[in-house]
Amino acid sequence: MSMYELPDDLENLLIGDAMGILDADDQARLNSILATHPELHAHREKTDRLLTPLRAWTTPPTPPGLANKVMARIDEAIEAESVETIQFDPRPQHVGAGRSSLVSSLMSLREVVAVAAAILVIVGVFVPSYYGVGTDKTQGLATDQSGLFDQSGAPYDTNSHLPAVPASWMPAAPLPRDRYEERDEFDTLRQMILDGKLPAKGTYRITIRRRIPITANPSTMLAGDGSSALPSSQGESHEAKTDAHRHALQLIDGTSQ
Amino acid sequence: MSELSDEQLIGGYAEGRSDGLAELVERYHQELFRFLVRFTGNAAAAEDLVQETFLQVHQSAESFDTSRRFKPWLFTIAANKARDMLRGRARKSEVPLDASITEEQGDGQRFLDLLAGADDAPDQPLEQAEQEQAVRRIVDQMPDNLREVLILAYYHRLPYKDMAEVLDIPLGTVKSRLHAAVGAFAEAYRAEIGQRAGRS
Repeated sequence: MSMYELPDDLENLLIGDAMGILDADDQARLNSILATHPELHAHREKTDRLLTPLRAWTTPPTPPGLANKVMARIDEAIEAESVETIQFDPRPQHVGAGRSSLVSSLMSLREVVAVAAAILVIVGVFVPSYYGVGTDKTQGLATDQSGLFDQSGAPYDTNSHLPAVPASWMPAAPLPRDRYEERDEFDTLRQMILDGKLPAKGTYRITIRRRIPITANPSTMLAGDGSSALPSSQGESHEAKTDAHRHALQLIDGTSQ
Repeated sequence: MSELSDEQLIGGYAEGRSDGLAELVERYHQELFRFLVRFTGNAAAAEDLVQETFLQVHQSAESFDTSRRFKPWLFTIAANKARDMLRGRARKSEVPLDASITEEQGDGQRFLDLLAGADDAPDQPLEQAEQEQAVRRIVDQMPDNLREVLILAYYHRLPYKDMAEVLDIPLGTVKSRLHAAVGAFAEAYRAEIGQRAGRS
């Protein structure tokens, strides 16, 4: 067997043997190879010789007291750890320090702090936010209503009635116009009775009056011949209406029908 | 106390028997100091690193697996701290000392070729002080991965398997690195002798 037909790890075995680091199995394997290949003993000696210069590298003596320094360093670390443990363990410091025993027994300081923080967030953030939203809503509503008032002004000035705009302060459905008219007539009649212009007892006939556009001539309502300038769309009984007004005016003038 | 194994001592320390660590410090602080002096090339740094290493042992004692061996674990911690320190100092160049004999052992010079030339080298070519200086310089100029494996193997007699554990690399990588380290050292040392012979 030539040198180059030896096991691949022969060199590692020789180096390990020269350094004394082979385990029992590798050492036995090398010994077996050396036993069958005596010529390898020369390589073994040469390997030792290659490594011999390494022996010259010595180290300075170990500093005196190094072991004590090591232990002192560890003692310092242990002491620091114990202090740290005391500082970061809240229970022994706070139990009985003015806190009720019930709270101390049920909740740790961390839990108490967490609850307090939650309350602080609720009081400091959520409640103001809630009221802020309510205020904003009210302000928005008021702004809307102001706008509606503005909207209402022009048609009221023009047509003497409010526009059919959705406003929360208005009835869901507009009151029947007849009720306004009827109320006006009754109010007039009632006021005339209260003023003594009409006897309290008596039968009075009131018909419903339709509103007249402002462009119409009010005098046409009271035409002496009973005719009316009202357009037909203004009401189905303007004849009766004009009669009622004529009657009412006659009453006011002191004439009786 | 001294009859207890390293693993029993560190296990006991983890369970609260405080004298176990003191015994381990007593057993290993000198060897650890020598390893770190060679690895870092600085005695003061080695002294600090010994303390740092045992402090880490104290802090990690509870995580130590007592079914494993203590010494490789201790040297793992020490080597890691030494590497961290060296990286911090940017002490070493990344260029290998010897391009012909590398870890990969591609087309580099074979170890047996070096052996063939070993006969030419005199046993004591240099004075003791010169020889030590030359060896230190050669090893110090090696890449970290070769230097640490050479130091662990030659000066601390760590078996291949223990070195694999300390360095956290496969066993085959340990063997190839040690092979490369020995070859690089032999070639550099031969060149050193040749230069000195040429000067004289």
